[in-house]
Amino acid sequence: MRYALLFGALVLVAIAAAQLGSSSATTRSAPAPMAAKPLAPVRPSQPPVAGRDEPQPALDEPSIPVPTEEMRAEIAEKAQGAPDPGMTAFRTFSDLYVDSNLDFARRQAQAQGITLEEVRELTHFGLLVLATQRTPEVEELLGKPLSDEQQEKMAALMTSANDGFKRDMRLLVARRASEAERWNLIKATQARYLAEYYAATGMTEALLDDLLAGNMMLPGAPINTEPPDEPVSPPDPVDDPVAPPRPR
Amino acid sequence: MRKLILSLVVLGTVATGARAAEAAYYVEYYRDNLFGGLAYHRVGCLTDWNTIQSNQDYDGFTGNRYCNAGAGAESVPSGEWFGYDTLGDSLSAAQAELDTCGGNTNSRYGTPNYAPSSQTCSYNIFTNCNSDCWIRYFSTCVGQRVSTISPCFGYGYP
Repeated sequence: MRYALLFGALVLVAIAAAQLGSSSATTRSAPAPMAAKPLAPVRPSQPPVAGRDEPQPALDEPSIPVPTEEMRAEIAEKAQGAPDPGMTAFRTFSDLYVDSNLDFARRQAQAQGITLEEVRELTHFGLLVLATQRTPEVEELLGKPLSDEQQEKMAALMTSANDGFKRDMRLLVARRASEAERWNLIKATQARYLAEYYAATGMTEALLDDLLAGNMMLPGAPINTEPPDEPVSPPDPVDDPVAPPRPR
Repeated sequence: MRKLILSLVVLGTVATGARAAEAAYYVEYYRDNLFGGLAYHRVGCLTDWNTIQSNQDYDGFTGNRYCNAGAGAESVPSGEWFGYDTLGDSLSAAQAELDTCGGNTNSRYGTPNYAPSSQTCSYNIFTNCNSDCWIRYFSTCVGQRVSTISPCFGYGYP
């Protein structure tokens, strides 16, 4: 009887522990310490069990605005007459992207210990770097293909600049560096990336502006309607076993 | 005596459940926040929740390495965790499922062998040829579509 009681107690402890693990796995979406609302889902500490724990959709993600006529007009107005129309249009669009996700951007700034304006600038830079990696368009502008070595350098540059910048920014934030120091890091990283990018690929400031001017958000770009899922072309003609009547 | 047997049965059931959970495999999704702004690269890794099980990065449009076999599942370089899907209890079946979906997605986006650039479309984060759309297609194939930023115009999963 004593053993039965002992085993019963063990079972209760095991069940209680299992329940505790289960509830902690499902209630881990507590707010991050820095932000009122978490930026990303919190990974459950316990492995989810199929059938019991269903994957939850992401809390929220910033969304890229679908270009409207007003948006295109605003971009065109700002780019018109600018010395660097491509860059100006691109920046206008990236600002519109941040503006349409201001709450998310603010929370990201807070979580990283930087300002909203820094997040705005870094969003522009991140999108710009992604644009510079569009190999086929870069090759088209250069008028020649990039060698394998050039392509590898170009891709490695994005990775090293991203990793290095984030590491240095975290250090600055950790030692409570001033906003001016953080801006110096941002500007230096941008300048170094572009200088090394130009050296690696043969691109120039003017060609980069042309690359950005080719952005599909610009007025006149072929994106007023959603493209078809697959290329649409008329079916290939096939021989008809019965000869069609020849028009008279 | 009856209570003793009952207790042992319950204890055994709990222990079996715990073992089953340990043997499960997952694809876990991470996003690499570029320069701290609102632009991301996304990748999936095969894990058993504790460690990454293979060196295969399930992503397209980058040559960067994220999934390192044997590393902790929370140690993906620059990776912020944002979702998962369950794959069952067999490692080989889990790997086969991800490889099949990876192959399908590579075909769709012209990124053979998870190439860093597409052979069939021109990269653009604002439209439908980018790593967001790649992971969206891939995760739909696996079962649970993850959310992304890019609108992926014209996106459609067969």
